[in-house]
Amino acid sequence: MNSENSKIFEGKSHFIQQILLALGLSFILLAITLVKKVFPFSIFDFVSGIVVTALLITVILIVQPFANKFEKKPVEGIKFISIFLLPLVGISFAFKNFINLQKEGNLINFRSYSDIVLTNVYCLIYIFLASVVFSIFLKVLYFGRGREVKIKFVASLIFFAIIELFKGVLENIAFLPQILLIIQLLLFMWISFKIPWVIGLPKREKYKVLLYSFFAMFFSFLLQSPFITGNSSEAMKFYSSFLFSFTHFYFQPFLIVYLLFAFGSAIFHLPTTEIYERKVTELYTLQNIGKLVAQVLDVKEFSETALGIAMEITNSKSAWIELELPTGVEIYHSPRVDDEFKILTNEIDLIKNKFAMQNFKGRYLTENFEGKNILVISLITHGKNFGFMYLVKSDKMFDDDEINLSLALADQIAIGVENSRLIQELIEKERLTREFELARQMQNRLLSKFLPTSDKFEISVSFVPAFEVGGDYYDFIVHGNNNISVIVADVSGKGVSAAFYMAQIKGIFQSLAKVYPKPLEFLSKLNEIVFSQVDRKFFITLVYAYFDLKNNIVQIARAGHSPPILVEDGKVNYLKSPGVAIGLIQTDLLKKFVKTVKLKLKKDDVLVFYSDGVVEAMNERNEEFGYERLEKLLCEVHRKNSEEIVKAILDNVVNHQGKANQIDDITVLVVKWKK
Amino acid sequence: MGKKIQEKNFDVKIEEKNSIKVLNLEGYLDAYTALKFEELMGEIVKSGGYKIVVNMKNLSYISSAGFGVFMAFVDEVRKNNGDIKFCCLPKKIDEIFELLGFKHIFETYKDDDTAIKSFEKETRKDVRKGKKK
Repeated sequence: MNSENSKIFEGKSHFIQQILLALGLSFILLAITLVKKVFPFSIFDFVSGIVVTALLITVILIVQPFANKFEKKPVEGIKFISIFLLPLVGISFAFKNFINLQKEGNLINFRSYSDIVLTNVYCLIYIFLASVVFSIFLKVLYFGRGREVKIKFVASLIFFAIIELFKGVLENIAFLPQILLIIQLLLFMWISFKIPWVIGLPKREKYKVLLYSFFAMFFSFLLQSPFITGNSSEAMKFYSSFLFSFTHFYFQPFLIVYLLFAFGSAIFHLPTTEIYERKVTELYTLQNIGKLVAQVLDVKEFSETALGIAMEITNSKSAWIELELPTGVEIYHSPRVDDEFKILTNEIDLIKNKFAMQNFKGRYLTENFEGKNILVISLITHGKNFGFMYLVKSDKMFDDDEINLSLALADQIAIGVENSRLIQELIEKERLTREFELARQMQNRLLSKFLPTSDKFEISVSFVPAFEVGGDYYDFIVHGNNNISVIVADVSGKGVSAAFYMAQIKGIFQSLAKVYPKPLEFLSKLNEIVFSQVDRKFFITLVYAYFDLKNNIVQIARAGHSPPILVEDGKVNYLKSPGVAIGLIQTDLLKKFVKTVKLKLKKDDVLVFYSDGVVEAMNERNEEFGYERLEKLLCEVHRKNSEEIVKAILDNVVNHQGKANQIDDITVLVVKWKK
Repeated sequence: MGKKIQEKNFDVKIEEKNSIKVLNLEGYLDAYTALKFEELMGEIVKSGGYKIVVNMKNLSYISSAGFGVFMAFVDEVRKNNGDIKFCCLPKKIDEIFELLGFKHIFETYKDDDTAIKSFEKETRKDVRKGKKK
């Protein structure tokens, strides 16, 4: 047998043991009562008192699983108390007529033994039903209260036990029993004074409490009354005077007092129920609004939840929100709602126009259309109206409280939408930051690491990427005859898209330049590919220079790029040949516009290729580095070697920028002729 | 480089003169603002605004992505007998137009009135199409 089975078995055997114990105890009681008829000694009273106590405890334990069902359900508890009291009254009344007994002073005597058996049967049923009621009552009593009630309850029990024990002595003192009874009742009141669960009940439940507690009280009174119980209670006294005292002086009075308080409390709080309920809903609303904060990411979800709450607090049958988002007007409605807003389109337009005419004064407007009350609230952030919340009720008008709550909620929605927008923006920025990082890495790998060397010239290049990756690109191509081509380009766009195009273009450059080394041919072929293949938005500006080492000739073509500079004998010349960026127009046209410059180079001539990031580099006062500064600088440094010239330009540009952000990539490439 | 992304303002004010849309650009048209501007242009073209004059009087900066926006729509607009024309280019932007070869592609005017009038002339003549394509 596995442990689970044995557990159930244990539980069952526990239950069976308890029942057997109860049966045993009841047989002992039967025996005692039978003996008592013949030998009426008072010692039997004492013994039976103890046995009855044991029996009561056992039965209470037996009915515990049932009583546990009323944990945290006080209204149900009271309902079942009244239900179980009814048969108690019934059997008391029935047995009153069944049991025949004679009373001589305090002594009770039965006619026959069968009456004693009947008495036993009656008392056992009584004990069972009373135990059920008592157990349920304890659950109700304990509900919503802490240790305090347990202490008070035990105190009242001890008080009762003491009175019972010293009953014989105390009864002889005048007024004392009455005084003790009053104290006992006061104790009950003290315990019953706090009934926390009644206040929070909805109206319906309060009516139920009134009804059930009234019946339970009524039945308890009947049980106390000799007219109803008569011989039955006399028989109970014979059976066990302790049982009689416990039920008639402790349990039932306690029940009556408690129920009286519950009844009174229900009546007392009945008129304030609605206010209380509203406060509770308000609290609930606040709580829910708190939860809304977690949903800010999704405007739709957020709005729908908020609408659900708005409907609840205003008892509206329909609600929706109209939001003017950057992507267009969106309508969100609570998922539980019919499509009222589709039916009311015309009315809504009327209201909206009227509302707009009033400049959204007061932030809300109520209108009535054929029995339908419509409340419109404008949603505002930063003083700008960006949408409306609509609530529709068909029966009542919107009262001030409802409107105020709705306004508060509309504020929450407005904030929520705004938050959502801000968070989306933040996410977008974060995404861009990562994207730029990736793009920078790509760009870094694409840029040529090798510099062509020759005894004819020296080449130096430097590149400073902008945070957002501007799309600058440079490359060298060494041809079969050792001639070289230099390309400095700027791919339009930024970030990953620019880097992506750059990667594409690198392959095209390398293969095209080898087949078409002459600038115009190269640009034409390149334009053909770019114009037909790539996205229309995308274009490249570039300078292509083809160096004929043997003849000391360079052919340069400019396609929309910043004009290269030739420093010859200390004089600065811009090679501003006509040209148009690659990818903008058809190749036939491009061929017409682009003109190649052909130069004979001599020793110490300096060619400077650069991206627009150099001249457009801005300082904090939004002043560009500009051509003049560049010219002046070149006049100063052109005698230095290519590396020093590049460094000088870069240093000056960075210096000019100061703390201002670098907007675009900066590329400087210098070729200095040596022979 | 942990530099933060600098936010710069860009705004477009749209006017309509004789069914010609005049877009008054303001501020910085960079890679970011180009995204919004592209959306706006998309809406204008979609709604049938094929004759567009872009007034750059108050534009302080335009990046390649900004130029890209005009390139993205120029074909569609011209297919529908419209065009994008520019006016009031500040000196710096005019230089960039020149460098890029944008003046080979787009017509530029000194002020918006002449730009608008040039559209009206076209509708009257309605001939120069062959040259355009």
